[in-house]
Amino acid sequence: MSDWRPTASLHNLARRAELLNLTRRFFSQRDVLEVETPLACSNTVTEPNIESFSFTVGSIKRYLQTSPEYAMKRLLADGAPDIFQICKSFRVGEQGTAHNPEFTMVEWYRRGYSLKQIMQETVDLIVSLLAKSDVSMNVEYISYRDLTEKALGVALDSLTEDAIKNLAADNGLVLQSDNSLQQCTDFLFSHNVEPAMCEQSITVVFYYPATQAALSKLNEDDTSVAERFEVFYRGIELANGYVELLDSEQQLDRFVNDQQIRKQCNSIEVGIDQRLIDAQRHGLPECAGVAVGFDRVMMLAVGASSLAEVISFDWDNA
Amino acid sequence: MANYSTNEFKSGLKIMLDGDPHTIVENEFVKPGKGQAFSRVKIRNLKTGRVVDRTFKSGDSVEGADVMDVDMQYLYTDGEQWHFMDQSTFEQHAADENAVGETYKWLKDQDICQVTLYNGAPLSVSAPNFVELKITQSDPGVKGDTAQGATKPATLETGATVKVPLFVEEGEVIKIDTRTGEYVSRVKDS
Repeated sequence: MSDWRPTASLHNLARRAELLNLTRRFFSQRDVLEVETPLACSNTVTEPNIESFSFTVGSIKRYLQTSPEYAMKRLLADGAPDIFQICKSFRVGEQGTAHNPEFTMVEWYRRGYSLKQIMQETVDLIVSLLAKSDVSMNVEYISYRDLTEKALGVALDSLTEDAIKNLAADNGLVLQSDNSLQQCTDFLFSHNVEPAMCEQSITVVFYYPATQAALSKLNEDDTSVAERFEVFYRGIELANGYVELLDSEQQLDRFVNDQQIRKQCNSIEVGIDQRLIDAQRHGLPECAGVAVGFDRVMMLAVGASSLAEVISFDWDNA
Repeated sequence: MANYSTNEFKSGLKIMLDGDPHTIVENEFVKPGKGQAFSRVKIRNLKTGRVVDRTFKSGDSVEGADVMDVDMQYLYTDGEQWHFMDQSTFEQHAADENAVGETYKWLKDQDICQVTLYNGAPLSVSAPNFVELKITQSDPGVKGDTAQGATKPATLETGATVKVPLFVEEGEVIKIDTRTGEYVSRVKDS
């Protein structure tokens, strides 16, 4: 007989419904409009480390969205007010105790918000979702530079390429000839820095190095850092947010750079979403946006040790 | 040997690392949202038994180790080597002290053992979970010592020493759990 039973208990599914309601209430109380955007789109992200599912039917090719970011930004450029969305997102190959290739994301955008305001609101949402759980509610705000210095004894962005590669190898990364500086940095962050975060508090890391800006704008006083933040609890990443980059030409440059990195890594070629660039050329309002991994928050809310326990059917049973 | 990509990693997979054969004990997927994905593995060196943590970039591939577990019959020892026979091919293999290790204590002629071959040569030997061995020397139990669970040492035909209950006598055959090295029961002559 096949393994037809759900991976989540009915109790966890009931809690899930409760937290979804709570999320909608959180945003309606703050006058943030709920929207839905397409999951199957003609373009996808160029991000070098994110792979999209795609399908082709006849002459039509579509990508399952890895996040609703581009479509939501097109809404904002057209004049939408503050908006939020709860939707499924898809990423190839991301499977493990804290990953499922199909997952639920809560994403929202706030017009005119500063980095400080959007960080605060993200913490507010997470804290309200975890109110009934035994997760500690202390919140620690720390810059990327200070955090890496605390964990490694030296700030990651102050090291030379060779020093970072050696440090990665010393800490157990099996180096291959083509390991890039960014890969070694990601390794040290996920293997040494994340585990060193305070066990007893929600950690908000801000001012990521400009090389990891993604779609965030650079800090005006110090362009070596980006107005990007992430929220962690016990080393698990819960949220990633930005004060959004508005400059369409700078955005285009970053996409082209992504494409070059994909080429170097022999990854699948991905076209640039011209509709997003055109929307940004038309004008994206000053705004900040953030995505929260809803399943991971669920995991913490019920004290589960894997995502499968809070998803009705995980990837292997779907 | 075939190469394995990190997405084929699972516990039990045998791979080469730093020139030694290893087996994967645990495999965990690690990925920062926007960053590089990794496979974080706990991996056991099949030569030394040591377990270490290593991390591979997702998509990297590693060489598989030519390691096979084969059931073989134990034949005899010449004092330096222990000789086994693959019962399907009748091929004989000699394992040295490094491969046999402490398992020599439980090796009895004719018993079927699991021999791990690396590049065709014995790398390690595991005895059956239970073996039956004859006691070659054991002092009689002291009369009057009736305390529950009281034991005395007994030397077996292989030279191993185990603790046995007081009522067990020299010349008897007993059953041993080789995983714990403990006495299980007496074996009645059939």
